[in-house]
Amino acid sequence: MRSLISLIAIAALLLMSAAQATEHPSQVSPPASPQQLSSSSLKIVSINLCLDGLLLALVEHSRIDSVYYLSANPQFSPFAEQTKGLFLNRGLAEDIVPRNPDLILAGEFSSAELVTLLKQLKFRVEVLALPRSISDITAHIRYFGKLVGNGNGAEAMARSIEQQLMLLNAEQRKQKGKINAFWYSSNGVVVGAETLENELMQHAGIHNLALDKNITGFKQIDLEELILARPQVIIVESSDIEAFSLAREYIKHPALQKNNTRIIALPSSLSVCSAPVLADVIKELRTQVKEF
Amino acid sequence: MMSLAEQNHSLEKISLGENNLLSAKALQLTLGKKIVIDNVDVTVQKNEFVGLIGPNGAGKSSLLRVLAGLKKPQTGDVELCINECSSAISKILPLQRARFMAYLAQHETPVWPLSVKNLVALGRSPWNGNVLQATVDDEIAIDNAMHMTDVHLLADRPITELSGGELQRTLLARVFAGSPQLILADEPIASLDLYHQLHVMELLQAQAKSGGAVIAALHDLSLAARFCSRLILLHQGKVVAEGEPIKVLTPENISAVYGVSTHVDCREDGVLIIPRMRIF
Amino acid sequence: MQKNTFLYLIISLLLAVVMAFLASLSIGNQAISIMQASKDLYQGNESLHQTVVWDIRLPRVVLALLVGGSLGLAGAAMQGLLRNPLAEPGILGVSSGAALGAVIVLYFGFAASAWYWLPGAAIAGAFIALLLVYLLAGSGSSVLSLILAGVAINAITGAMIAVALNFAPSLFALQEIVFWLMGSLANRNIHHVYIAAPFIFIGWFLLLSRYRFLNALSLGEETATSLGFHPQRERNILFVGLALCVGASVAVSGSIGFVGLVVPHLLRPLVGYKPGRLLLVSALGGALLVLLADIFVRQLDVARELKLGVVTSLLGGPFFLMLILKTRSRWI
Repeated sequence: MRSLISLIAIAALLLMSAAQATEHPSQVSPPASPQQLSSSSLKIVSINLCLDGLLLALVEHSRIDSVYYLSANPQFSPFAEQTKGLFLNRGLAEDIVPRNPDLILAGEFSSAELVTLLKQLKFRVEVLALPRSISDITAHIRYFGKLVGNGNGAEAMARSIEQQLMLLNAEQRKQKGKINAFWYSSNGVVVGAETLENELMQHAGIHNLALDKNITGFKQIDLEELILARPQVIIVESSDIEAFSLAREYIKHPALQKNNTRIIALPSSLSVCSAPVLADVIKELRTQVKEF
Repeated sequence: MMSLAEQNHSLEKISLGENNLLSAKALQLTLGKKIVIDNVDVTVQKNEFVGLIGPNGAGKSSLLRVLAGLKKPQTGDVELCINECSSAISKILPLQRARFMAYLAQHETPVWPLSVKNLVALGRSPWNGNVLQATVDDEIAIDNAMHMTDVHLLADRPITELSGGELQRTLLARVFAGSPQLILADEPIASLDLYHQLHVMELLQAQAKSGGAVIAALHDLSLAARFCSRLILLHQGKVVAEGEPIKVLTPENISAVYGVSTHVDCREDGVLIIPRMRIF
Repeated sequence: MQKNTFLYLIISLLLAVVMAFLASLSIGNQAISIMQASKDLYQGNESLHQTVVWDIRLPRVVLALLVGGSLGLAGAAMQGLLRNPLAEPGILGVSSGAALGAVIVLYFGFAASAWYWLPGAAIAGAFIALLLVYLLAGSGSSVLSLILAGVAINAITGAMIAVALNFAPSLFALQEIVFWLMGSLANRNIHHVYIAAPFIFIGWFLLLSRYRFLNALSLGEETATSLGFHPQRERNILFVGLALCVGASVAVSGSIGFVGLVVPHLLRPLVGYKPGRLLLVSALGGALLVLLADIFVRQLDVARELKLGVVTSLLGGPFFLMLILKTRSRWI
């Protein structure tokens, strides 16, 4: 009887170790303490789409160990091309742990359970707050640069944003009056005060009509209310991939095309990830406003 | 009792089929593996009140359904003689058939609390087509039917508030409202008290005598014997006996089919059947 | 006398619908004069008034009328056909069947290829769901088996919608469709009217023309047959009519629930419980209810639009419970 039990126990142990071996093809060693390595030689994993964008822009490919799987989907990420050849993780511990990275980058909305688990396993996890204003963004980029060991590249990126912004401000001063506009986002939502979009509109010399309606943040408004505020311009976000989306059906309403209203379509959506695309959006906004 | 000559005369009529309103030959119906109707011939002539009798499960209801054109038999055909021209029931337009022949189901339960009058008016559906305007003919037919069946005082009552007997009479009024020539009724007196049992049987008899015909499945053998001009005794889907009531309701026939011994007493005012004991 | 009350009922409902229609055109979210809008339209001026009334409000109001009428009518017809007061396109999963068809077409890019794809697919979905209901529950079945059939079909179509959306190219599809399914008429344009109206009109015609059969069917299928109807044919026509009405409505408005339950139930006593007469008045009543609910929705100033289907469900849900309690003893 006793021998049988011990036999079973041994068999179970063998099975478990075999399973572990297949689960972790690379050898699992305790993660090296990050202090021992200079930040320019870190092996980095990101589990956030927006951080992937910065990572791909600022860090050489060889050091990026894995990016979030959504980054390879062109519908969400303008940098899908650049993820070729990289391991895509789905934000699951079993994707990340066997790769034994030196640094794991997570956004503030990444799965809290995952972050806790990784920390318990003694990995270095950096949780970054996602930016909500232009100054946030530049600070965010600079901080990110230091973290991944490319402070100079980050500095240049932040500078370029600031420069574009200055140009936008300069053009605004040349403008005679302000342009009345709505930033009309998906699902018939307009963008109000205390948003990045509102800040951009101000820099571009555009009066956000949502402010007249005391809208803060994001609010769905009725189409007739929108029309009756007499916007000269309606800013919409277009996406590169023309996949059907009910949220975008609102923009197709014929009433929007009437009464001399102009529709400006920005190439990328700020609502998903603002930091990597901000410079492009400002540039596009400049050319559009210049034409006015 | 009919004289022999009279009997011969009626037999002759059946074979000639002059006055046949309905005739069916070699009907066969199987449901699943069970043979429900087995090689049955039925004819119904003008002025006849035919009683369909037999124990539970003998195939009375199924036979009525087949005759009414609600079920297709596997073999055999039902012919209706509308305006002296006979044709197979499947070839007759449903509307034409409905004007000629009405069917009263055994457990007809209306779902909505219609008023008595509205329910009786449904009997007119083969005739009228207009949602807003009932014709004068319709009104008269509905009114007559309600008077005949004694439900005219209930005209505005919802049928959900009626007693079983009142409901049955209302349903019968629905049948009469369609002024059919031929009525097929499945146990029309099952839920009625004595008074209304007699009343309904009289009405059906009157329908038969006024140039129409009735074929009804009945359980009450005494009433069947008294009112029907002819009985058909069914057992296990077969016709066991057919003809004049007293010829059919012999103690031998009854014991063979129902499995009870009976005392049958033929009297001036009807046939009295007293069940004595079960014999199987 | 009875005929007259029916006529008066129709006339008063018609008047109410016309008034609600005009009210809905004039008292939208913003103060706008329809007189001015009509003048601008007549004179060919492109003005804000004209845009708001004719481009924004009119399609919405016309759709409220069409969809409401269809749902009320479909409810009455289904109740007549299944001989059950709890039958309703939403409860029995016919609307979700239509939604499944619509979702597949919308998210896999067929909707863009031709205008009839969207209503066509929704109608096909509704038709299949109807057949399933009929197979599962049948005519004159108990309330219990009918509701269970509805639960089953709703569950199946719900799961199939989720599966379909998982394969959809747009990853926000699932979240979007959750809101879409709640039913709304916000920001619809005249194109939506064009794609729904032809099907809806044919559906109305088919359903309304079956009034005599539905009357006769109150006595059961056999008796209806004996009264000179061809049940198979009549039922097929009703199925097609129901699928057209519900499918085309769902294609443009999502599923607006319980209209087909509440309206026929309230109006039934007024037409002497005749299922045939109930059809026309339920169509009018349904149009009235949806018009009023849509006016109500537009008066609210909230961060996220209150969905029309949510309002009708808030009205209809308790009503449904009450009906179940009331009919429990009689029909189960």
